[in-house]
Amino acid sequence: MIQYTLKRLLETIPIWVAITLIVFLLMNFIPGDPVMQLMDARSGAIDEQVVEQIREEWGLNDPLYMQYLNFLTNLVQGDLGTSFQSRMEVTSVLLERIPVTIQVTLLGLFFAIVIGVTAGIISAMKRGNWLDTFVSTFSIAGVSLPAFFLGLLLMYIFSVKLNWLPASGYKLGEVKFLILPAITLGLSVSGIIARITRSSMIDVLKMDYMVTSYAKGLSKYRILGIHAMKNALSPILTIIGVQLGLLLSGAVITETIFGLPGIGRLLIDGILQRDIPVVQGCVIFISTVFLVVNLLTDICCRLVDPRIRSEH
Amino acid sequence: MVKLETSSGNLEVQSTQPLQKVKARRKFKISLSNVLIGLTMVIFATVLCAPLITSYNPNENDLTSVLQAPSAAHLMGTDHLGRDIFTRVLFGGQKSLLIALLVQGIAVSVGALLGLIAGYIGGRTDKFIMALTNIIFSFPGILFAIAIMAALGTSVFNLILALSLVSWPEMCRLVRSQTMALKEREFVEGGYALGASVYRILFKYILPNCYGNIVVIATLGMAGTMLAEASLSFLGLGVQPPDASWGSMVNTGKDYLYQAPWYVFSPGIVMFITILGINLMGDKLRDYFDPKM
Repeated sequence: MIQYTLKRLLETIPIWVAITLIVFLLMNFIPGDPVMQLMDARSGAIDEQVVEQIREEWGLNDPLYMQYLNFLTNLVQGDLGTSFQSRMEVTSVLLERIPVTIQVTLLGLFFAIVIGVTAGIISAMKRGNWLDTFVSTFSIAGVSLPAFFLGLLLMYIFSVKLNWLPASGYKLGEVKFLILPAITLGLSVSGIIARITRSSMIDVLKMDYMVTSYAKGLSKYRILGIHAMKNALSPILTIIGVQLGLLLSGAVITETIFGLPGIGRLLIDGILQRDIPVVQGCVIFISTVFLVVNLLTDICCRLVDPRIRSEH
Repeated sequence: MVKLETSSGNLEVQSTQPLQKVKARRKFKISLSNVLIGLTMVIFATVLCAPLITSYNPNENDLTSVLQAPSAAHLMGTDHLGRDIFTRVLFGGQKSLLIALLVQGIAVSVGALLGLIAGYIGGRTDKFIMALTNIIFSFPGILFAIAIMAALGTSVFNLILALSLVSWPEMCRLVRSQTMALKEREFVEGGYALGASVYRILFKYILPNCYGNIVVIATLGMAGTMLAEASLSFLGLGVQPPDASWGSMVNTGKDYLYQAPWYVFSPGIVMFITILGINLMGDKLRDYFDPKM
């Protein structure tokens, strides 16, 4: 197990380095000189000498590979540079925004799992039934409904028409601001989870040992909840891991709609203001989390399912 | 049925029965999914004939009729600059559809070609191409497309480039795995024995056997591309005003959700039905090409 974890970790590191390289190169594509932009933002007058001095200080005169190596060493130490706009450390800005995104994502994940797994189990049990048809229609509709439209739909129903929940905004510790964004996120991925749960459960329910457990007289809930679920779990865990990444990138959209001050909002604002360090930091942060989550789900799958362990 | 005595012979004999069942099931039925697919076809046709159907100019402002509710003159109402929303939905749809088609065209060509090469040659080439797909897959969702658009700037060309870059890996992996399985088959070996060139083996022996799956993945991919394009345009990183696209219309419409809900809902619902219809079509095609699923 430890060996496997180490092996996966070693496989992940080059991918992570490649991601940082791609993001770094992409950000170098952004037109315009950051120093000039900064000068423009501060005052009209541009002093050539000062510009040159700043360029030297920021290492912008170094060759590209040196800039990247500097960037990577700083990154490993947790330093993502300084925002062009607010002149604050990007890392501290990110840390400030992370709690909001994590709250929404986890709450969304909770909705997604509750709705998706329940719907999947029900439709696997009632195969061919109208409920099964309903769940598969629902899951394909979930994949087809753009998250931003779903969010506005929910906002229209629950904030504009019924006036139950606030349309946008955020206050620390108040859950009511998070409910609509979380449902938006949750619904948009619960369809896929339902689909995978259904097919994984159907595979398990066909097994001989399910008949045995019925014959032993075990209760239905015990059979489904423990015997079947345990064997159906690893594909479900894998898809949940992948979906968590989608939830994180979906946060960009929900945070924009509902005006939440999270990382997604930070990223979009950064793009609009051409604040390269912020954009860079957000993209690298989100993809790193995604990579780590996938690594963890792979390890979890092996923990819950000994069959995968023996395959390697 | 002819019984083959190879190890795969068993499979072919077994598959004759479910196939008959599938044929019986394939009779046309009026079901919700067929209605939705039909509706999507109607949307496609309407969008393509947009200039014949509507007499309004999609980008011409008319400040005397701002934010009007749907009526006979304006089927879906008007927006905050007095433009006819129905017209803009049609022209926006043209743009969305064209972008999705182009992107899938590029994704299929690049993905299938690289997949064939990776699967056929194997070794280091395969490792390299797979590493590329792995890296693109490790950016969650539309994040990579967002980063590309942020770097290159917003234009339709860049949008197509960004969406193509994120959509080819899936096609590549599919064609690669199929190629790896097919190159071991007897008819390919037969091709070798007859002295067929590599080009001939790849494009005349292996590729035609992948068509079914390619069509399925391309159809589902097209739905995904439309969704991604709409999301990018919604975030202001895709199609730029004054040009219409479904995503950008919802984006500007969201500020008028209270006064003019039709502004958001008209493009939104049309977009939802279209993407749903394409997804359902993809599912149908999958059932058709692979009855075992």
